[in-house]
Amino acid sequence: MKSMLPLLFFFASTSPFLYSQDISRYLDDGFSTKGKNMLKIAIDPLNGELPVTFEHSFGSKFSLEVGTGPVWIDLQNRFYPDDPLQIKQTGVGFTAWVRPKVYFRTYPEKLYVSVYPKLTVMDKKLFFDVALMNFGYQRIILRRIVVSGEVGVGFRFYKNPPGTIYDEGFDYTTHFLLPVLISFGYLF
Amino acid sequence: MKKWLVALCLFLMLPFVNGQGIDFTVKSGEATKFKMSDFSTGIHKLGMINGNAFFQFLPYTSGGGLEINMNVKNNFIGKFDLDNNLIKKTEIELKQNKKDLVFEGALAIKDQLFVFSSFQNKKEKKHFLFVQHVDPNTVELVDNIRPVAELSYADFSKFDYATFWFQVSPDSSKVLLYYSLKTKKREILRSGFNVYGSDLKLIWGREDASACFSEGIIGFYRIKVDNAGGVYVAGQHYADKSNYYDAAHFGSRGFFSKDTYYTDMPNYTFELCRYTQQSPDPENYPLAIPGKFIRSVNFSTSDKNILTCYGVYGSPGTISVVGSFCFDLDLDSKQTSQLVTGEFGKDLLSRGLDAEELRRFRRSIDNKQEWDPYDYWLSDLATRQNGDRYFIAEQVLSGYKEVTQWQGGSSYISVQNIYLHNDLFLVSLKSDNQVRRTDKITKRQYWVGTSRFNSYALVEKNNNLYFLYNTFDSKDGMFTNVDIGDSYITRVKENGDQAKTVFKKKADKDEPFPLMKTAINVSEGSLMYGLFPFNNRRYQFERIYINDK
Repeated sequence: MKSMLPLLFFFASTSPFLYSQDISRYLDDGFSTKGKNMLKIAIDPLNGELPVTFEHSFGSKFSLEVGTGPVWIDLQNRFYPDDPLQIKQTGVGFTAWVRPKVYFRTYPEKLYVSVYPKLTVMDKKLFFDVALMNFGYQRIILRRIVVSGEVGVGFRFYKNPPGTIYDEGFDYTTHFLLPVLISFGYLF
Repeated sequence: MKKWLVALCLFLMLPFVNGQGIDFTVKSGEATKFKMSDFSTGIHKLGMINGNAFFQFLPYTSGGGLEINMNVKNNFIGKFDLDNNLIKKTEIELKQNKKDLVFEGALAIKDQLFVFSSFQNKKEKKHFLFVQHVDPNTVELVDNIRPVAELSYADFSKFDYATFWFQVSPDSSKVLLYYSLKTKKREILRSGFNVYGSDLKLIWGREDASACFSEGIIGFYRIKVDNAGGVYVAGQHYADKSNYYDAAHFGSRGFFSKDTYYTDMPNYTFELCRYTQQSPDPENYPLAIPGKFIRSVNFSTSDKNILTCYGVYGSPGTISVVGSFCFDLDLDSKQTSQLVTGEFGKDLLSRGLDAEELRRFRRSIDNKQEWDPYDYWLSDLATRQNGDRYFIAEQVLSGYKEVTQWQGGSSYISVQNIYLHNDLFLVSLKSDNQVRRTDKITKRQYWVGTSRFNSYALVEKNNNLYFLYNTFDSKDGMFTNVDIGDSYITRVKENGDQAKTVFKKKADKDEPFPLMKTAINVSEGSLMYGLFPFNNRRYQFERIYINDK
């Protein structure tokens, strides 16, 4: 066995399969374009929302985002001046959601789409928002800093206040919804 | 019972199929359905290693539109036995330190399988190329990745991406890596090359592959490496490109309805640059024939510092091809010798043309107009078992057509790519470059969207050459539909005698269809090739055996 060792060493040193290099220095570009998590602060200037979101990717195309933040009620009524929400007209509410996102290319950049339900509490009443289709565009602008913008269409429905008579058998009111979000985030 | 009757009829027809004297057998492997996890859109041949055939399966690539595709985006490498059975297929996942690397190519050299990958490091402003092995036994990536090229783009603010191209020397002892740094608009910022040994260890390289070309517009035409590691870059030097078309524009009333089929004009010349490790200054060699316009040229390197240049030519001032040429170029003295030109002649040029094509050809000749818009793809210079050399020139024309489509009551214009691969000219040469004879193999291959089903495969047996190809035609004069034809073998004997027979009847659109460009020469008179359906759902492999004595 001892006599075979030099031979084994020779084959080991000449086999092209056995030498490799640590290439991490070539891949160190100062930031991770493939961070799986993203923490963002967003603003919806049309609807008066200021949520904080956390996004985690599953694979190259899918991610799940949770978001929550305050809502300014006076801005929520901007689109329905003739049919305002049956709540007090000022104050601060609260919104939260969980939504899947699908990226057209590869997470976390370029176009994405999401369909999601959102719960909003204002004046101690619960509102269900369903964004039928939300399209967004996201880019890494500086190392780990991410900026994105998205727009969608959907509707909001909520239980009518007691004593309000609408269509027989249907105790909910619906409103058109136009969510617009501009976000800044950190990828990690 | 009905199936048995059909089978009996087919069996009885076999003697008629082979009735033109080509004896062959086709053995088919099992058709395999793609899953979402291994979906591929094409096959490339890699080669033979230890008695197994290796193929690369190409991933789906986005067309850039608004689409969500859940299919896997990685390449696969498949190992097959010679009975067309898949032994193993492996996804090539190129991830290092949580960073995704870009697949740049796979190469089979001297029983080794290499995979190249790249990474663009924006911090260092460098594009790195890496290589690692794939174990041919297990078809698994070996953990031995290492850098083989480091391209700095710090001087180019418009840099967007790099392209890599690999070429192996005739004896497989050297590997040439040719690269270009490009802008978003695909303009080349810089091209260079590296030469490696067969173990992919760097021997030498240059960062300026255009160093010795004349001033003006140069298109890189052909790049080769010889057994000693010398690099040859042929450039197409244009006097003027103002009236050029990047692609042919197919009119709506049929082929030849507009002059934009002529994407080239006879206002270019060819130059060759030779780079060697020993000489710091590259040498420039003009490739020209007195009194002729070289339409397309190829060259073959040798160990004797002599380059054999060959191709097809037209008359001065015209683009249409009238003949072939061959000459030797002494790289030391820059002298050409044994220059031989041979006209194809009107009979050969017009042979195999249908009535309409013949009418147009005759009218063009009578009116002294151009009749031949094709570029010519030239094969390598090969040698038959009897020592005669030959090359093949294939007529190729690519272009596009604007198609008006209606959807939901509104119309929109889309662009369809069109690929024509037509006749083959087989030029057989004696040892002194004299043309022994020129033969023409007539085929019609018209395809929309992709050229993967076009072109041909070649196998040799007993000094006979066998050309295998599919046939397609434009279904209508509008160039919008393809009429699928049969797949043929044409045998060309040494004396030019031709025989032709069907080796695969025309397929239904759901059936896998031969990709002749994937064919690997398994042994003398035997080819293995992939089959791919039009709808990308299933693939298959076949092997054809030429049984002619």
